[in-house]
Amino acid sequence: MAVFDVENLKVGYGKLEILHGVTFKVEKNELFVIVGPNGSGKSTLLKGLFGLATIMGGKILFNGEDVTKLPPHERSKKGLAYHPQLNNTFENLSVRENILLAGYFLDRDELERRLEKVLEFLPEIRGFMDRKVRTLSGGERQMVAFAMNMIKEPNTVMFDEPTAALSPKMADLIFDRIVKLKTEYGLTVVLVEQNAKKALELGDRAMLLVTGTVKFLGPADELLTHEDLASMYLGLRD
Amino acid sequence: MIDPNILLDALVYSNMLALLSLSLTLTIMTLKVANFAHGDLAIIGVYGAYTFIVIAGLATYLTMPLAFLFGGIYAVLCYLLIYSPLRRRGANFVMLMIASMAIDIATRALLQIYADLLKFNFKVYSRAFIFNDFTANILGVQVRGLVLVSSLSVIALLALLYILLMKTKFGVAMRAAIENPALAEVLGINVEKVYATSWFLAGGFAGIAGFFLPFRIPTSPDLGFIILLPIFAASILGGINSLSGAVVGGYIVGFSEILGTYLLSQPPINLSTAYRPAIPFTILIITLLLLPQGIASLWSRGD
Repeated sequence: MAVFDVENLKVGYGKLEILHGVTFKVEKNELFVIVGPNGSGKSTLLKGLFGLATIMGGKILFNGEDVTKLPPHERSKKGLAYHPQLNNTFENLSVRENILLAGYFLDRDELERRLEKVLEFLPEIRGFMDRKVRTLSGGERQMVAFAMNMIKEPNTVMFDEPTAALSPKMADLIFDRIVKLKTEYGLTVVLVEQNAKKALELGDRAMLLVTGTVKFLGPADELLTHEDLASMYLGLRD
Repeated sequence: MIDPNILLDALVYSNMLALLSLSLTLTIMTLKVANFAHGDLAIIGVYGAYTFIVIAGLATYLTMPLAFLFGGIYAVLCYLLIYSPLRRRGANFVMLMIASMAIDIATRALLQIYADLLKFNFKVYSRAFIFNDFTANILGVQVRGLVLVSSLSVIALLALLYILLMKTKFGVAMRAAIENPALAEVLGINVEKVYATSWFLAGGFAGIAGFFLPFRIPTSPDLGFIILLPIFAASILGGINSLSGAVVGGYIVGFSEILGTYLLSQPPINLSTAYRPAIPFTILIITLLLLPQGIASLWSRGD
């Protein structure tokens, strides 16, 4: 059974339709990459999958269950996590408060157990646990957001451009952990990324979105080496 | 030398303003609305308490928790029945502000009707009523009960609010939902419940502040509108988005209004006291010229 089985999905904001009928599947324990030019609807798709944008048509099955009309927190309870590009942490709270807040519904012992596990996965955070998030760098904030998702022990994580505006070193660190989610923790990952080359090198399968429609759906390395699409839409050339 | 009674009166007035400005700021932080009906919450609180004093014969200070309760419940009803549905329908700041003006007018009308009901059914004064106070002897000095009770109430309520916001899980969720409601929702926090709780607390605090009013001045249904301007002045002075700033703003506005009026009316200046409402606003303008982000920018970037 596919983790996501999306059929003819139309998503937008208010009355404006951005995605015009998208159909695809994401299989269990795969790294599914979504790429495309600016304005193609990549972020809107993730928001639609998480219930943060208006669904105008179609159906979303998550682990076989119809979640099309569920609010975000209900989808979250079903094991789906979403890592937004911006505003993904609470700036005026400490790192510890941010992470604990993400585990709001857990009892204290369980929360402590999971926190230890998260800190093993992201040991860099230990150094700034009690600092306010507003004092952290962009990369450190992304790690906090990462930890906030991990504490929920999701089965599927959707990342929206997690490396945007990060230094190459920090971006590599984030990519490394994203891959580990799949390889070491057995999670399913959906990754929207501007750095198409890097994402397609890491991904199993990929989808190319252009102006709200699917132009390619298949193996990631096939898109990476596709003669026309890679150069026309992703700026990738030999 | 300033008369100690003037200083104590300034303290009592400032205690009230601090609670009102703090609670107004809490509502502004949650809903981003300039709530013109905030002063009415204080009056709802005091009429709730007064009802139990004149009908059930309760001792005046025993009805203080009732003032909290009435103010809190009315605030939650306003939030759940009016502000929240409007927000869900996409109402912007201006629409919410106009709605709050409508609530203010309607609330004062309801209070007028209620005052009539009290008067005709129970044959009691229901307008321009005052509360009798006790006097305590502290180290040989006679001090009004209001000075003690209002000061202790402010200390206790601020301590409780601090513990709630900083030391409890629900408080952290409240701070999170105020800062970024969309993200809080994504994390599974029931933002609606958090906001409704904030409004209950804000209404309760306003109700307590209202309870102190009849000890100082005759209280009537329209008083909520009259006290609105200094409340806003205190909140804006504090930085509009800072709870600690709102408290400090309340004391600056309160003391400057009472002491300024007193000092300027004394010889050799001998000014009339008609300009009294202008004092807090003059202080407000001067402070904002020096600190555009409000007084709280001196110690933080928001709470």
